[in-house]
Parts: sequence; structure tokens; C-alpha cells
Amino acid sequence: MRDKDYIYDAIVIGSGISGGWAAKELCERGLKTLVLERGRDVTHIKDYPTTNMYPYEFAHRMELPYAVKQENPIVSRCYAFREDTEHFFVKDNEHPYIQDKPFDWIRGYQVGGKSLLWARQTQRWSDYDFEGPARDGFAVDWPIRYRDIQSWYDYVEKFIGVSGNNDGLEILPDGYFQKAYPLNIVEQFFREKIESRYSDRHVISARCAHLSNPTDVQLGQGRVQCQNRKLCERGCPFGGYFSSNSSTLPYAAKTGNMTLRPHSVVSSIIFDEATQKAKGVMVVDAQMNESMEYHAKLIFVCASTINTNLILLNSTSRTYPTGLGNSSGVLGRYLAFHNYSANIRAEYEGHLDYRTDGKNPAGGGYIPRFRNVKKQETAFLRGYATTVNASRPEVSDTKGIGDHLRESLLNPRLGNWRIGSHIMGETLPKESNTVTLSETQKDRWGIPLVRIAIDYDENDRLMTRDYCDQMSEMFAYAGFKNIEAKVKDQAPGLDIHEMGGARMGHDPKDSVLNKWNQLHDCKNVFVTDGACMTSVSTQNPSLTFMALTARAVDYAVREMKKFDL
Amino acid sequence: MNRRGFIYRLAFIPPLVALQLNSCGVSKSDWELIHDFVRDVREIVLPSGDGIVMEHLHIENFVMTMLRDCFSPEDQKRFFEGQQALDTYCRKNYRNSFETLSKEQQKEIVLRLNTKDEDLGKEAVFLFSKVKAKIIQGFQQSELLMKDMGKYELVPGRYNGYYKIIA
Repeated sequence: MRDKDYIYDAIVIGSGISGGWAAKELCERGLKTLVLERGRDVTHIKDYPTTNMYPYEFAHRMELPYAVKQENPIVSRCYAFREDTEHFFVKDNEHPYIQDKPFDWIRGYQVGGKSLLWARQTQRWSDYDFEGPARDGFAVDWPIRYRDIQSWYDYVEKFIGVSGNNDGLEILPDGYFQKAYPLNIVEQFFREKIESRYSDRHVISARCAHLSNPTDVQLGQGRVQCQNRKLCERGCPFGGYFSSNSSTLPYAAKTGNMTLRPHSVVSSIIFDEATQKAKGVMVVDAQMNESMEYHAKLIFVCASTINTNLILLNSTSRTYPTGLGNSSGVLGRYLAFHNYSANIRAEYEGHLDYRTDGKNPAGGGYIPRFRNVKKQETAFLRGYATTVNASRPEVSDTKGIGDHLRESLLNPRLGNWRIGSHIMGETLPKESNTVTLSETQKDRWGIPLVRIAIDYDENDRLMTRDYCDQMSEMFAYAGFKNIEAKVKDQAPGLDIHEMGGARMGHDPKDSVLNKWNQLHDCKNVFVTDGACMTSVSTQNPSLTFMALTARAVDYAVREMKKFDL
Repeated sequence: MNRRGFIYRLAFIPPLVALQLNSCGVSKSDWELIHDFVRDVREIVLPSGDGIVMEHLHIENFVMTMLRDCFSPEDQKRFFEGQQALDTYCRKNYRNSFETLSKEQQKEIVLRLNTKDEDLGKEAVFLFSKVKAKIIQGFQQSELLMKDMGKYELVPGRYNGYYKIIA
């Protein structure tokens, strides 16, 4: 390799949902861009080995063997870690980390990252979310408001394809949607009951990044309509849902400006004391176990929340001895996540002359936050959104044996409707929620192990109790029976929505990034994955990561052209 | 009778090799005995009929795979104890092992296991409950039901949340 092969206009660390967007936007603007991915390559369709397999083609019918679960207690707690998907998850012992407090860190180290595995729910933030910290006195004020990101939400939604309705709700801004996957008869019944009683509670069709009616934009990406398979975590050969693999990365590659380098573990960003800018990154080739440097004028850090924190903390220099961008001392602090600690289920004996047919990739309904929206009303701060979904499974009498059992299994009957919901609550970014680096333990490439100390608190517990009470009340009002609310003793992390550590803010003294996702301390480094989040609100975060990334690239390239970077 | 020793002798396995097999933690003969039990129980729990030849579905193989791979060593120990308890019971009451009983006698035992009759041994009931559950799963998730009979669609291509059931 020649020296010039190590020099690019831009480097993107990570190829997941944020990195893919950074790559596409940078390449489309003509920048020669190196995309560094620590895991293996995964090419759309070609590398989805299980995508067309029937359940009976798996030796254990998609259940993981006992030994695998024992060897991987952390990732085994993830609902999507199965026999058909295990190849897209990091195993516990492959990349160890230190849990100062219990934290289930769920990771996907491959090209595309967790964009292959995400739940595909896509909701915009509103100013009720962006104004939250300032109004309620936690974290720091977001340096942006909805008006700053609105056009970028438009831009991303038009490209990735999002199904949903324009519901006209202040709390959940409308967008550019393909036709929604409609609520089923019982979800709609629940909606009407709830909206007849509560003026501020709404049950809407879940908005999700599935192509219900693809436009020329998605067809041009080689993607077609979602086929309602609900096998998304295997990788979708139709490109029915958005992933970096099916969409942004091929788009970036098409420009001829992208160099994608898998097996490239970034250990640090190199800070040039003379220019006070970053000049490149240190990389360990995970296969060759060799270190190398890549240089660029612009660096986008999209390594996923905790790994982005790790890279910045490990990027020490004379000017920034505790990590790049850490003159404030807040790098690696104020992380938060989503409160997923409860769910509720019930049965409904009505509408027994109906069932569903096919599968709903959106999952059903969504109730946006209704607690503490316009003013503080409860003993806890902030609030929660919830899912709500109804299904009517077939059931068989399996008590007997012999001919009776066989006939029963061959002729199942429809049971009552079953309704379920789970909480998606906002947790507060606390100074004590930290990501730090071990001073003694290193990984196989000599990079310090990350230490994670993040936990639930009393605010979360009060919120969880309120969710159980309110949902039980709503379910009872709808006439649902056998209502069971369950509080789960699960650690943070399993929500897979960890955020923060390199938060955005107005003031370099108490934040790491400015309103453009740019390090206050180092103008040519941008952080646009979950690490940038000042607070977490209740919405699934990926849409906001993508919009912030596209916005930041647009700003960065404009600044480059003005020679300000 | 020491059945494991008996099987080794039948197969002319030298004592040293037999010792090594035993020291593996789970001896081959234990699993062979479980396999015999699964085969016999499957024939009673889910017999052929309705045009379905159950032997063609190889449900026993699936059940054995699951018992071997997806249960803890503690559960597997209970399987072996359950099989032994059942063997003891059958020898005491029928003067034969379970697999050498007549079909009617086996069915009589299986019916009692299905009603959780712990006179047959608590662990025998445990073993049977797991085997039966996996037989059912193996049938429901067989190629015949899922693909040929259309119970599972790999590519549905549709969703209707208001599907009216025609009585």
C-alpha cells in the first residue's frame, strides 16, 4: 500500500445506522471517504445465510443450545439472539467489558452494525423532548430545537422509507410517510375506547422503517415492498426495511468515493498539537493484528454509543490528557437509556368473529408520551411511551395423547385475543452514569477495556409503577380481562438504547459537542451516533441519529469549503 | 441388573473403554435408553393417522437433539433418573423393561405418566413431560405441517387486521 492510500478526505468510524448515513452523505458530496468497521463484511443479500430458511431447517427450531446460552448469558437475554440470528451478535467472551454495575451491552460488530438488528420503529422528537432538560432541570439544555432538525427528518424519511400516518399530534410530529400498517380490529377498538375517555392519550399505528409503498427513491436503491415476513433480524433480501447494508452503504459505494475497510478496530483519534485538529485515526487490523494510521481532514465518529466514548477517552494527548474533547470533564458521563422494565398483557373476549391474516411488520400500535407533557404532573420527572398490540393465536388442546392429540394439533382453534404492551420510558442522564476505561485490563488489541456504571433509579421505579397502574386502568376500561402487569428485573442495556457520554450543549464547559455535533475542542471531529444525545426522551432513537448525522455532514462539508475546518 | 454394564458386554466393549465412556459425564448408554423411550413414547403420544405416517417426520431425532442440546446437565440428570425409575417400576410390576412391554402395557404406563402419576417416579413424570412437549413441537414445526400443509408462510406478503371468519 502506498502512502497516499492512507490519506482520505474523511474517515467514518463505524458502519451502522449513523456511520452508513455519514458515508453516504460524505461520498455524495465528493469526499473520498474511508469507512472503518471493526467487524466482518456483510454484503446485502449475499451474507444473509438464514434469510430463506424455514423453522424446521434449524436443528433446534431457532432455539439456542444450552451451552451457547451458558457461554453467553448477556447476549442471550436479548429477544433477537436466536439460532437464526446469532451470527449477527457479538458473543460475550469475544469482546469483554467490565460491569461496575450490571449492564447488558448488546452489540453487532459487522458491516451494517445493529442496523441489521434494530426494531425499526421511527418516531420524530418534538420540542417537548428537546426542551425537556431545560424545563425540568436535568442534564443541560439541548442546543437545538425541532426547527433545527425538521428538514433533516424529512430528508431521512424520504430516503429510508417510513410507514405511518400523519396523526396531527403535537408530541409526535408528522412526517413523510408511506401508508401506515393499520391497527387491527382490537387495537382500533382499544384506540376508540381510550380516546373516548382520555383527551391526551392516543393510540396510533406504529411508525416504522418498512416499505409499505416504496417510492422511486427506495426502488432506486434496489429495495422493494416489505413482504410481511417479520424475519428482519436475519437480514432482508427484499430490503423491505432500512439497513445500512441495503441502502446507505451501497449508495455510498455507487459514488466511487467510498473505501470500506472491515476488520478495522479504531483504537484512538490522533490529535495534532500543532494544528489543534485531529489528523487521523489509529487502527488495529483485527485479522493481521497490525497497527496502522489513516489520515483525513474530517472524522465522523459513529462507533455506537459506548465504543464512541471509548475511542474518545482513549484518544489522549498533551492538550487533552483525559480524552479528546474532554476539556469539560463530562466525556463519558451523563449516559442514559430507555426504561424497559415493565410490560403488561391481557385477554379480550370480544370480536371473536375476526382474526388477523398475514403479519404486521410495524408490530401494532404506539401510544406517545402522555405524562408530564405540558407541565409537571406526577411524582416522577418525564414520562413513557408504550407499544400496544393485539393478536389472536391458534391454540390446541395438548392434554391428551394418541389420535385425539394428533387431531387437536391438526385442527387448532382460535383462542381469545391477547393484548400486550411494554414501557419505553425516559431515564435521566446522571453524572454517575459513566463509561470509563480500565487502567489495568486491555483487550486482545491492547485497547483498554471499557467499564460501564449505569443504573436505574427511583425516578424510573416511580415511572414504572405509574405505567403499570395507567395501562392496567386503560386495559380494564377497554374491557380486557386477566390483566397482568409485570415489572422486570432487567439491567440497563437490554433496551439497546444507551445514549450520551459525549453530549451536545451550548457551553464547552459542560458539554462535549456543539449544536452541529462537532467537538467543541476539535473542530474537525464530529460525533453523530447515540453518544451525542443530551437526553433520551421516549422515542426510538435511530431516526434522530440519522437526521443529526445528515445535518452534521452538510454543515461539516460547508465549513470545509469555507476552509474553516 | 446393571443395564449399562449389560449393554457394554453385549457390544463387546472392553472395560477400559467402558470406563472412558462413563467418565465423559453422560454415557452413551444412558442416551440410548432415552432414545428407546422417546421412540416408544412417540408412537403412543402421536401415532400415525389422518394420512400421516409419523415415522416419515423423524420426530424422535428432533426430540433427541433438543434433549441433548437444549437442557441443562441438571435436567439431563433428571432424564436419566426418570428413565431408571421407570425401568425399576416396570421390572418390579411387569418383570420387563419399558421397551419390552407390550404396546398395551406401554400405553397404560404412558397414560399414567400423562396424568402426572408420581407412583411411576417423579423424575419419570418430568422426563415424559419434556419428551411430550418436544414431540408436539417437532410435529407442529415439521416440514409437513409448516410447508406442505401451509401452516407457516415464509413470505406472507400481506396483513389484514380485520379478517372476518366465515363460520
